[in-house]
Amino acid sequence: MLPDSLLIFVKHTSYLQRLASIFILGASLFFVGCGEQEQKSVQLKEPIIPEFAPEIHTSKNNTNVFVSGVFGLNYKAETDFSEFLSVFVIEDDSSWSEKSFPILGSYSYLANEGVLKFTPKYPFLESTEYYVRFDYNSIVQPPVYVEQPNMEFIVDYTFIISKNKTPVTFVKEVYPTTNQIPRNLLKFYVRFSGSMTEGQMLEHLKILDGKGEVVEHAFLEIPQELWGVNRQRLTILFDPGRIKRGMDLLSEVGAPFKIGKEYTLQIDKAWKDGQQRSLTQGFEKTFTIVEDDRTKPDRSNWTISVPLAESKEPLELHFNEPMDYALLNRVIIVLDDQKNHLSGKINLTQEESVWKFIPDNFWKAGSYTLQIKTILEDIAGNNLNAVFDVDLTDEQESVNRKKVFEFINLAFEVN
Amino acid sequence: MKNLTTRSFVTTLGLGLLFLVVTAFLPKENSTELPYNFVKGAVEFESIGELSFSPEGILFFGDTKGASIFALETSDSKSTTNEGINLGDVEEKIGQMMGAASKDISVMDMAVHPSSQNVYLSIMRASGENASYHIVSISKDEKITEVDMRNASHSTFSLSKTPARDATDRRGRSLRTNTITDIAFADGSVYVAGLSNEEFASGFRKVSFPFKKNESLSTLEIFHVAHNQYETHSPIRSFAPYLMNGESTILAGYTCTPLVLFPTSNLKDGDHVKGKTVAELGFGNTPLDILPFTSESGKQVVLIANSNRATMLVTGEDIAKQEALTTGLEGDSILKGTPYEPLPLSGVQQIAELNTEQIALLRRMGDGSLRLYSYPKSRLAS
Repeated sequence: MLPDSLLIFVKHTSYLQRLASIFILGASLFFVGCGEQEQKSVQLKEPIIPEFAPEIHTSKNNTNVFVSGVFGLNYKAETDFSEFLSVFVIEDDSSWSEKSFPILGSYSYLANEGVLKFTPKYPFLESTEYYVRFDYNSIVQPPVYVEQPNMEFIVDYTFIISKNKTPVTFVKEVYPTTNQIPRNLLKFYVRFSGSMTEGQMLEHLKILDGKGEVVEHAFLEIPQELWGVNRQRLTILFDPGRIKRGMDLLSEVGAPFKIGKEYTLQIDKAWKDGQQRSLTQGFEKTFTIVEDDRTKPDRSNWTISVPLAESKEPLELHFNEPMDYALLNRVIIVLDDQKNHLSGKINLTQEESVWKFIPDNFWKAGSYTLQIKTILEDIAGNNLNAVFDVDLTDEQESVNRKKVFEFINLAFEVN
Repeated sequence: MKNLTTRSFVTTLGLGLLFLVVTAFLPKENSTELPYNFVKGAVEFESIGELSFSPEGILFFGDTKGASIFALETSDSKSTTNEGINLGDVEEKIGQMMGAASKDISVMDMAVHPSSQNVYLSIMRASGENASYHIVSISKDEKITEVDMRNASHSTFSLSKTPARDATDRRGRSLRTNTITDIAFADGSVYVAGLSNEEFASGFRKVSFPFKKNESLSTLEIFHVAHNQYETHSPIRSFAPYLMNGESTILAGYTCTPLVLFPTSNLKDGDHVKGKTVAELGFGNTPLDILPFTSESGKQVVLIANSNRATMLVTGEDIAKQEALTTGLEGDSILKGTPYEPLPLSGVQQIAELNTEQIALLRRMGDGSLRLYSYPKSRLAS
């Protein structure tokens, strides 16, 4: 391999200059070649024993590994330090072997301080065992020969980074908050008080039946977990293959829940937050399964409660059934008669069946519109355009399916 | 000494020649524009998940957190023979290089470079606040190399449309994410399947390549009808471009488990397209990966890896003659439609075509380790 510096040197020259440089380089390599050959012809009679006593430790914040007390090292700029100083990961229940690959990283030698430094390419991780091995036989020049079989020229060191793990994060709420859950429930949302780690859901979240047995394969199993942007909210989708209609057998065998029975969603406290701490406590939600919900939300059942002008009273939209918690927070906006988007806070009450909007500014008398995206779903995945799985043989459902709108607009007056 | 001098001279001459070759191929200053509208520099992604190669060896990856897809030049075009690949303890070995125990290495996806046959894996190292994302390539001589993202020829395309006015949380940020569940390159376009963490809807999209800055994103609504009766808007979990009787189609496994076929020529922005359901893969199961390939005798076959069923083999002939499913399941059956052959391969997480003779499998073994190995096509289908 040619060193980068040489390539850069050549990059900025003309071809004539390149040829000249090749000649010069060739000549110098020739001399270097001769020199190396001559150096090898020196025979050593006595081994030279190094005088230093190296010690290994890590930096305070565990970002680097240092070997101190390494004075008078015989090295060149191109010396590959990884040949004698290596850091390894040790798996649980195993130990270092010569077959292990060393961790990638960079090395530097501070000659005056007698310190050799290793910086890993990626930061050392908590709760992981690292093994450092400094084999300085080969760096002592000339090398120590095998005539000294009892000489140990290896120092090693093991470290594990552990931090104060006092738990602080907990489950704030699981949505829907209602305890009457339709058998074809599509999803739960779990809200945590802080950010969490990915990839542990199936290990720490279970649904138990009345006998305490785990309901197997209830969730959609995909490698990616459906976290919100800040990793504080997790969406848990039930396996849609077990919810849909059209498979008569599935209504008995496939559906994860049985009507009239009680189940418990259980989250154990070993689930790790974003800083690898356990939760402060586990969480349980017990619910009863009721009939499937196979109807799309019907706007004729909704009522609006309108505030008075010059007040900051909430505007209320009553759905008369629990709706999807996340979508309620996102897909409904209030527009004034100039189509300006009013700013304010959203509150959900009565088990997410009432949406409340508290404006930042006082209501002014006039005409307003509540604009609701039709992707709004109830808790069984039926949205404002269609039910979760449209029965095309059902005339009403089929006709509705063809009338797809992006929004539903509800007009109201503030007086 | 004379001998030494001669040897050194020959070495010098050799090095000189090597230099001449290297310098002749060095890019000149103000070098010409890169192909595919690529730029050279640091690849600024937030996460790396699904992978796919174009036939020319451009690597595409999905960035769920950044709501983007990236195209990347891999400079890995050395062609090779049809021999196989075998590497045990994949997570442990990658972890050794990256300074992480195998529990802190998660393999997200796998793709094979079409000419070098190196196997590319997307990796998440650690999790939570320490998580970082990487791509490594594994060669047949078991060499693991990390793809350099600090200086690569690449381009990117944002999948987030100009958002319609949404209500937001107090920090003014929506918590909605769209997880990229699969991507694939076909006929000059990148197809992207997505799964929202809020609304349950089919989010299948198409982006033409090379990426253009102002191009709008085609949102394709692919519905499928089960038993000629129920139509769902379920998202696609895994899919593959598939040629049926010379027609370009997409063979898609839905999160609600039917296997659905639809022609790509029908896909137009915003259109409501119905696909033909050719099989039900069973409840309590998710299709993890779909791989169509040509058998030794030139027959088309499709391999499907599942979360809770054996890996299945379906023939193209059976798919072609399968009528759209119209009836429900009968008796104790859990599967319906196109017949399939279950294969004695459990724990298969990823499948990809290694070369004309071999399939590459990434498989969770009985002892919990992850193994990458090749499987001759001749043992799967004649």
